[in-house]
Amino acid sequence: MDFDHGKPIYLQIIDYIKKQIITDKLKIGEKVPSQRELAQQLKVNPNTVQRAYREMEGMGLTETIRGQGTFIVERRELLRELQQEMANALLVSFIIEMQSLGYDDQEILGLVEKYQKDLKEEMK
Amino acid sequence: MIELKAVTKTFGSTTALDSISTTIPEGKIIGVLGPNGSGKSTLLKMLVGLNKPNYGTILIDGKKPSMDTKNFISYLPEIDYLYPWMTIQQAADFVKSFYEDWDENKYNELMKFLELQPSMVIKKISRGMRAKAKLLLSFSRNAKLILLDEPLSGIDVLTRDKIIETIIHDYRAGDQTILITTHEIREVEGILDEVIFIRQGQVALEGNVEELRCQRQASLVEIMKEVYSHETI
Amino acid sequence: MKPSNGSILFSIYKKDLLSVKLESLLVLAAVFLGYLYFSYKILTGWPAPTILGITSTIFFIVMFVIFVGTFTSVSREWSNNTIYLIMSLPIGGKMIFLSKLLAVMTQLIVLGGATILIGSLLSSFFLGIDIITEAFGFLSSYQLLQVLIKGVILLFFGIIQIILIAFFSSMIGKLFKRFSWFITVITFIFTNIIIGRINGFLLNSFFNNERYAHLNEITVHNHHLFMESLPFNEFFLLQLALLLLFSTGLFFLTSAIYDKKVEL
Repeated sequence: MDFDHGKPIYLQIIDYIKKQIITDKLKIGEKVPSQRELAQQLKVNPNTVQRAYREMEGMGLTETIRGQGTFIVERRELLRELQQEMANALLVSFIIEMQSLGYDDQEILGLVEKYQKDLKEEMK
Repeated sequence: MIELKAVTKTFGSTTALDSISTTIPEGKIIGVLGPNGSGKSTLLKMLVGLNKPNYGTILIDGKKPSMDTKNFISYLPEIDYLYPWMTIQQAADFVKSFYEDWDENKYNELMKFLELQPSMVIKKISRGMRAKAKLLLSFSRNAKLILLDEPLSGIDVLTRDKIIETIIHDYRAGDQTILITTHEIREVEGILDEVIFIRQGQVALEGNVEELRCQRQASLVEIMKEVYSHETI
Repeated sequence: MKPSNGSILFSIYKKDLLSVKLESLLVLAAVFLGYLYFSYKILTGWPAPTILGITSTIFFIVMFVIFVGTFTSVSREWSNNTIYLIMSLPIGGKMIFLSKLLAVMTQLIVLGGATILIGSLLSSFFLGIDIITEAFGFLSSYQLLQVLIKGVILLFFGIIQIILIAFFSSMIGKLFKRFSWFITVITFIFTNIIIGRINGFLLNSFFNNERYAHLNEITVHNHHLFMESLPFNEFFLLQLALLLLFSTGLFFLTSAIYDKKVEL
């Protein structure tokens, strides 16, 4: 895993798990790799993975069943929630970046529509 | 816990370590980083007892490096240090006869994981395989302190991954302490808990990796470049 | 459970022996070929008694090769970098050098013994059993046998001492990064000279006493008497004691240098 500097690795691990869920590589209710397995896969310190797992448990993203392992929670809305979370983050940073370039809200909306239309044209 | 108190080591006219003082915590994976010649290998050698300081004291769990401390230390130098005429099995039989912490199950498991055969002769296998063989013997023990001196140098990328995975594989956080010296920072950045940067024989910067990264909003690689440029921190 | 000292010693001893397996086999092969060649020569014209000279020569060559091997036994650990492994093991110099000593002695006994055995067989073949039994008959005179046995014992411990001087010189050499070999050789020569001098001095001062003054007269004329008289026994015991003393001192000194002073 390539690390974004500045952001704590354990948070990046949580992002990674979230992405796995969004891209359907990890399904709702599915078992996540053991801490050590994940540490080996991502080449990170098992302590860091442990911290990530603790956080995810605290967030309600995962639950641990004794003797069986750690699982993604069985919440159907989870996928949509995560999608929304990611989309929000993207939107926020997009709008802020565009604003820093000098575009106002009206211009930003206009540009978005324009590129959506262009994309549809290309697909045809 | 390892303590270095004003340790100085000179080789002729070169000063490898210059009154270096630091405390290395127990139960963590610690990176000792720095360019060639900064004194990192010397530091590891002194912990094992292959070198003795000219001045200062080294204490491992309150004891000076001695035959007693060697019992729970597993040292992996950069060079090929196994008997070239031995097979991997012979080398294992040799090493295991000295330690009570040898773990036969681990040995068999790691052998498979590293894709080695007991009958391989050390001098006949490739460099990468020799590096894996060294690692196999070191990690087949449940040593309290593991010292890895440039475990990745000269190794191909795929084998490096295996080596890092091996290090993580059985690591008992809190129980075991691993010291790694390397200049392949990118690859070990993820597994380090703490880091010590050595520059010209002294500690230039040390601390918890996550904290340093967050504080400086930089990766370890970038922090390293900063440390070794001629600006002061 | 920490492994016992015995099993550790055995493990290192095995390693030291296996390290020289190849050379030992080569030496053995060379000995066979040597004997074969010279036997052929004797069968095609050379005088039979030359077998004795040949046996001695081959024996001394084997001794010399093993003697050189005593030095390489130490220096090879450095050139192979295996010294990094040895030094990181939880064992001390005494164990290491005891093992090397035993390994060299094993080589001497096996290779030297084989040489003598083959030489004896060939000698009895070429010279006839009669001459051999005559020689043994001569030796079986009690006094001569005594002397022979004591001589062999002194020789045995003398060899051990030389091996230990070789180890000692090697360690002194390893204290220096440059000119190691040179220093080793010089140390070896000097240590031999010094020990020889001290040995001679102590023997002399012990025997140049009032007690033995009257015997000096006799010994010049009658070796027989000297050999069976008290002084020879005492000479043997004193010399043996000195050998053991020097050997022990060298052994502990060499181990201490390795433990405390040698660095990588």
